[in-house]
Amino acid sequence: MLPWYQHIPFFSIVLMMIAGIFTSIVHRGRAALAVHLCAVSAVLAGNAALFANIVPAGETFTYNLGIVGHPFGNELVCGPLEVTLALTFLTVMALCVLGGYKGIFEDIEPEKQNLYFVMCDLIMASLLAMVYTNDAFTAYVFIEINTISACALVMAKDSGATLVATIRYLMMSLLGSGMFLMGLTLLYHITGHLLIIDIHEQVVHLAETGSYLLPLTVVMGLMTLGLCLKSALFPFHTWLPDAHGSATTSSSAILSGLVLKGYIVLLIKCIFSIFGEHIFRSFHVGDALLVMGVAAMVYGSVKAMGETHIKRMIAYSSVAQIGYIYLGFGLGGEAAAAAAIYQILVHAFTKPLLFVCAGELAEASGHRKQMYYLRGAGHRAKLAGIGFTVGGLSMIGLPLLGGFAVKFFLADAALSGSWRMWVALGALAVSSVLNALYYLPAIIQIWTIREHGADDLPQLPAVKPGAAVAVSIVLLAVGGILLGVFCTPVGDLISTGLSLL
Amino acid sequence: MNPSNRNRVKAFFDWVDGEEWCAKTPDEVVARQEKKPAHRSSNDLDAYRRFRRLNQAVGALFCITLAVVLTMVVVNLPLFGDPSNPTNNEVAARYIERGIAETGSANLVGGMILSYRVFDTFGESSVLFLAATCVTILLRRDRKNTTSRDLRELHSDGLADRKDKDIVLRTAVLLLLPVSVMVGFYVMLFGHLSPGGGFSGGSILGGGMILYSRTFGSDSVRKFFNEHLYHLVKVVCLMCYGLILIYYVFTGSNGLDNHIWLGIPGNIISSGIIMPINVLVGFEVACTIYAFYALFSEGEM
Repeated sequence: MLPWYQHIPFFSIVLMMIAGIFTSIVHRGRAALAVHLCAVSAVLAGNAALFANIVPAGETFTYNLGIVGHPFGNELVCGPLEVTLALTFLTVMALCVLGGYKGIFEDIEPEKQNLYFVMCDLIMASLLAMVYTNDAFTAYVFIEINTISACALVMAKDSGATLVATIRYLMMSLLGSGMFLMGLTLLYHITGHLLIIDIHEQVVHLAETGSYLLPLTVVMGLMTLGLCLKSALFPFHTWLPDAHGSATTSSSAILSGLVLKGYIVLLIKCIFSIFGEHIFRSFHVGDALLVMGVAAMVYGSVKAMGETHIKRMIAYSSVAQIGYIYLGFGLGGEAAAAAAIYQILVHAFTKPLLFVCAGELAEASGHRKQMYYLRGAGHRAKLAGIGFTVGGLSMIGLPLLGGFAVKFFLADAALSGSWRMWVALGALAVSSVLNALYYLPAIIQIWTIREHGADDLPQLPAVKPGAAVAVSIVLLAVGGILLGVFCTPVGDLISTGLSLL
Repeated sequence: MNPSNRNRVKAFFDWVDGEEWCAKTPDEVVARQEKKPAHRSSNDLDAYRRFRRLNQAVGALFCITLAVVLTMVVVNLPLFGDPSNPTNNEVAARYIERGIAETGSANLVGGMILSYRVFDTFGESSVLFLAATCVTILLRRDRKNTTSRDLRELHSDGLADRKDKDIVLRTAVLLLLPVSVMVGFYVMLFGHLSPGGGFSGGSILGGGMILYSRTFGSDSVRKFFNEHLYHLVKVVCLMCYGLILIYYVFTGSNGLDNHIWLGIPGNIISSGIIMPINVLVGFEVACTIYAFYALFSEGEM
């Protein structure tokens, strides 16, 4: 018999899927929300127990899904890094749904509200599967589930803008899936395996003997490109501002905070487990990622500066923040990759915080999201104002907040002396200043009492946030702050996890 | 400091303070943006056309490059059917040599996807469920996507209570329908013995239902298959599949005997979990295929 906790990854995934299937016959939206929260809490508790059992010992195990063992069936793998990511994703998922629940019940037709939570359940299942899978084809199957349900999250608020955004998102996302699938098919042809460990063995063998080098190069390019497209790396980000800017608050938070990260987790598996970092770098794919990441950091911020719509501004900021992650992969080395993973965690807390707070601030300003109307909104919705300030300052990189830790780790990892060091340090400096140039005006705007435009706007009353929203804002902010304060132990945990991958 | 510099500094501070956002209302900004095309000279239009042509040229170039690269890759791949190929390894050998004994399924492909890789296949079945749910979100009639005019038009189309007068069509469908239902069930039930299985059998069944609905009107389908039943069948099938999966994986991963009777390969009652799963998936697919049709044509079941 296996130790009991080794069953948790499999049961987490299946429980979320069954919750999704069951939710489709729960006809009331609020009951569906309750089912979703129950399922996520149960899985969260299970994963916390798993964390307590394997992290102190630094244990990592594979879990066989079928009648016969390795290498004949599907497999899951779990180590410190996987369980940390899963815990983060589960926590943020629950907080995103709580933070935007008012918007869900306002924006979506009553008879379709339960279907929204079906999508949330299945996104969670697919994220868990992407984190835990040890089989490249299982990864593809759950990419499909993730793609479709993410599109449905955008589409659920049934307005013209969201439909156009959904079509764009769907096209780009399917192109990405197609490239990944094509790469995977070719990879199977030259290695003969689908389990990640066995593929890696064969790839090392191919690289040593030098056979099938052209297919291997193209496979690396296709799989990386497909995942970059789906995680909105510049210049493939064109779908992101529309999709994240026009959807309902919860959807924006989930898409920015979680869905993009799922694909990046798969990219980590590709780089470190499938190809191996050494081989990946010897094909110079990492350098391409470095250049695109740096371009994203600058371009996303510059575009965000020109936005007058608060949610689109935050969405463009995501483009820049995704650039930080790719900068970490591009620099190469364990330390830089650990910094990139740290950014995944920090961004998973901070960006939903910003979206939830922006939603609350807009509600306190008569449901208008242009910066013009948000003047003084922080005084009308105090908690959301404070949350937005914390999130914005974290993005700029104020010490003791998560964003600072990421910048510090990235800069530390870049100190290698090669040309990459200058590119990375320059990009970090420029991007920090650019971040400040749009988050600070926004923060000043929401905390300044209105002097202008007083004639055409009625005096708006203060809004008290609901308990769920307050919990969501406080916990997301606390998560970001904890990641900033306890950066050494969390950083060590990630490094250990990465070395065990 | 000269005046123009001071102005610039003031403008910068104003911008940081958010004054710029307050200087113009969003309506003014929108009005200004909308005015732009009116002022657009023919030069701008030419520039736009040039841009489009360039865009198309770059797109074509990209496609051609991709096609060339992929062709080169395919040429460099291992030859199809060569015994020394990387794909001819111990995994394929195990599936072929011991597949029948371990899964009880005479259809090796069916045995492989529903036994060794059953977790993936559960994911794939959920993709179909997910797609149907998305279509429901998008197309089911609600306040936003339906006006009373739409409803009137739908009614006057008579799609709901269409009794097609054409005797040839009605007779042909009546003759075809039993055959298609029977073939659907056959493909579903014999999925573990011959090519086929839940997905293909279910599509044939669903196709039969669409044919019936098209000829005799969706009201006559509603007599035996309504939205209630659709949800019930879909959820029960997928849940049972999920429970089978849990039992199978739980015992398998513990290395326990799962006590599933495999039967004699080649018999209709054989192959352990594969035939039940084929039937469950078949019913789910049939429902979903018909639901797609109903939602696209009328926006309701």
